[in-house]
Amino acid sequence: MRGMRRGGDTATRRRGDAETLRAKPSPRCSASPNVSDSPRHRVAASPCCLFITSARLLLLVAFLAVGVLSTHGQGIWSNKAARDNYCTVCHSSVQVELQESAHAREGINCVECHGGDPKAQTVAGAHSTNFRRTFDRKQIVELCARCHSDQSKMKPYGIPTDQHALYLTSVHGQKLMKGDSNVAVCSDCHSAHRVLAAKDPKSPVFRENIPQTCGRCHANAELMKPYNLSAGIVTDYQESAHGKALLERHNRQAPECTRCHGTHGAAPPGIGDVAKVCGQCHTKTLESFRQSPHKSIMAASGQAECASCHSNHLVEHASHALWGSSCSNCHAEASAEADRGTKIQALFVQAEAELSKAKESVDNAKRVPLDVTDYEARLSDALTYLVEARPVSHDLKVDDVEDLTRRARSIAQEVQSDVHRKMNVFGGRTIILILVWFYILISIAVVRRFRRTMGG
Amino acid sequence: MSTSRKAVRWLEERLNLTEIFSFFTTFGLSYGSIDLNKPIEEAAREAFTRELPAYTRGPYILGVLTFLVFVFQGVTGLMLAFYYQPSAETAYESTLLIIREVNFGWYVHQMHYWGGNALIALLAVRLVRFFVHGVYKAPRELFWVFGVVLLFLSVNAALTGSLLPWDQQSYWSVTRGLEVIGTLPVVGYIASFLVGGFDLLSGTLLRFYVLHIIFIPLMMLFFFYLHFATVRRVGLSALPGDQKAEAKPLYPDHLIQLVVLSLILFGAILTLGTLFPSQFWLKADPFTSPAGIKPPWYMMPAYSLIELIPHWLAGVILLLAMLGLVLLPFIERAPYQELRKRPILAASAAAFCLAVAVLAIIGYWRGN
Repeated sequence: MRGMRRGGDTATRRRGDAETLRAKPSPRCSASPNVSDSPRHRVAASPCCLFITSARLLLLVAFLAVGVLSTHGQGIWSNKAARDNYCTVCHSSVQVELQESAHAREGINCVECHGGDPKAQTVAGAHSTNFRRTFDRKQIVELCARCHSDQSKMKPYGIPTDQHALYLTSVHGQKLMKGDSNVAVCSDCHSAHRVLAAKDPKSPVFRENIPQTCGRCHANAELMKPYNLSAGIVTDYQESAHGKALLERHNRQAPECTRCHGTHGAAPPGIGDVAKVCGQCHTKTLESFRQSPHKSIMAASGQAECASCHSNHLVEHASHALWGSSCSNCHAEASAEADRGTKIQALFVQAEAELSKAKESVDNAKRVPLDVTDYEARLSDALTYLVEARPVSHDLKVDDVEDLTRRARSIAQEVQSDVHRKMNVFGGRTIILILVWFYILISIAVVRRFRRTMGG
Repeated sequence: MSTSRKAVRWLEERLNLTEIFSFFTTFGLSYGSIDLNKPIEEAAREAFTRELPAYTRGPYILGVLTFLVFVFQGVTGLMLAFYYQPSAETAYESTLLIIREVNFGWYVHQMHYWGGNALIALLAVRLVRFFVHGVYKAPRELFWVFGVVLLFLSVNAALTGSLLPWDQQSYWSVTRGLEVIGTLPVVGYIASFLVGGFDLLSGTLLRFYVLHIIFIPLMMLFFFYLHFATVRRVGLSALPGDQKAEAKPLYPDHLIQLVVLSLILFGAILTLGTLFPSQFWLKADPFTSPAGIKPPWYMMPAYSLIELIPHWLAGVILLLAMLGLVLLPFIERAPYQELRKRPILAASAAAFCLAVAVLAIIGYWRGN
């Protein structure tokens, strides 16, 4: 909008200039209109008028050339931003970056951040008015906030204006305010000139690129050392169930760094908040966890809830083996609590085994081929019960888990039994085959006997 | 006079039953001509009591057996056609209906499948017998030519038929088969024209269906007729030792032998269908080629060849081999029937069979 407005103003101004040129002929030529009307005087006035006419023609050609080039989008004058911006004559590499950015698309130029006179054609002139070559890191945040905290400017784009305020609450922002210039500022994540929209796959803040972007600092052991942070978290994330879902299977529902830590207000979740963060996606699990004895005990003992069993960045795909291994991290192996974990694990293992056997039967039947549509639908129901049991198991009530896994098991057993019955019908074909051969052999014997009788 | 005789006589006054009987005997039942002016009883008695050389029994009646399998294919194919719907949208579902819901549909489907394979195998065995016994020697060159043509037609019948279930196996297996045909000079273009290109689309399925149930069966029927007409003209071929054997009437000796062999053949097809049923895969997906797909077994050596050497060269070799096979009686004109008197040809044939076997093994090995 802003760019369009600016473009519109310029066009009006340019039209006005051209009209002015046409409306205000040179005083030297227009001094005596009567004289210039006569052929004699026209000839006499020709050197002066010829010069002005040529100048007008040249100007017209120049305008046409610029118009044609801009229409076809070719050359360095291809966009409005660059046309008014002589900075790019010297800073061409920056121009390349800027041209791709969301800012350039909206007509935001060098002058908006760096000041100076972009129309000046000398170095001194260009670097004159309020020119700022570089910014310290704190200034970068303030500079971006100048527009991005302005509701009137951000409203048309639907961009929230609380980013600066959020940033100031983040660990990054707080440390910056305390004078630590090593922390991330806007340009570290969004880049300085090539600022792309977050939905652009080339953008460093595109969902699948975020782990790599955060990893630029957080995977740097030297940079993390003063903060006592591990530089292995990005590798851990890449190896995790979440990382594999996002980076290998391109499942954009899978969380990256910002989903748990926040974007501009990035901070690690507090001890009592881990379950809330995980629960944003794992809602049913959170619901069950809140009913478990773990909730209050972990809050009291300062344990990191979900992360205690599942780890934080290296979240592995939750298998039933966890019930056997993770309980003993806190509980004695022979304790009632560890025993409860083993029971829940056994329920899951039994249900999965039954489901696996049922699926194998259905696959065998499918190869015959038998119609297995109904069995597949029932197996899908059984699987739903099993999947439902997983979050429910976080309330640590064996009965709840048993109820759901029993349903899954019984459906799987029914399916196995039905498929077996149907396959027996198929097995009956062998009996039919034997009967047919019996009939054939009897027929042959009768025919041969008949032939002997005929021959006799 | 019994009721059946009365009925025959009543019919005979209105229909030329002898002519109808004569028509059916043209397909190998009787090797002699029938007087159409005689009443049916007399003509039938004459035909059944006509003595035939003993050598027309056993492996010598492979031709009649092959024709019986062809008829069997026609009957089972007709039963399948009652339910089958030849379009990409419905072919798979209608095949599922046949094998899952229709009474004995599964049996009919399996027996039609194995019957097709048995037809190819019998025609191939018959050609081997022709070769070993030198049956193609003058004046019986056409025995061989018609036999080879029937073999090619049965291969095409099986190939077009195997696409019809429209499952993954059939779709991709036929695609491999068409790749082989596509390499053949001239023949490839003709085949491409017949199937409307080598991309298997819904239209192709319909064309394959028409080829499978109308064009190819009619062609085969025509060549069977030509074959039996040739037999009636020049007689069956016998090795010198066989000619001494005692002649026996068609009924009961030869006919009972035929009935026994037919029953055994039917039992064999049923056994194969029951113990080794053709597998049925997921619905054909032109965008997903499953792993380990091989062309049909009868095309495996040729497919293996086009995989090993440049396609154009493989196409030329295959076409020359096919032409050589058809024209064998006109190329090899030695007057001996016994194979031991034709050592060079025997060695060439053995080398050819060995090459075919090796190529087939390579094909299966690569596929796995």
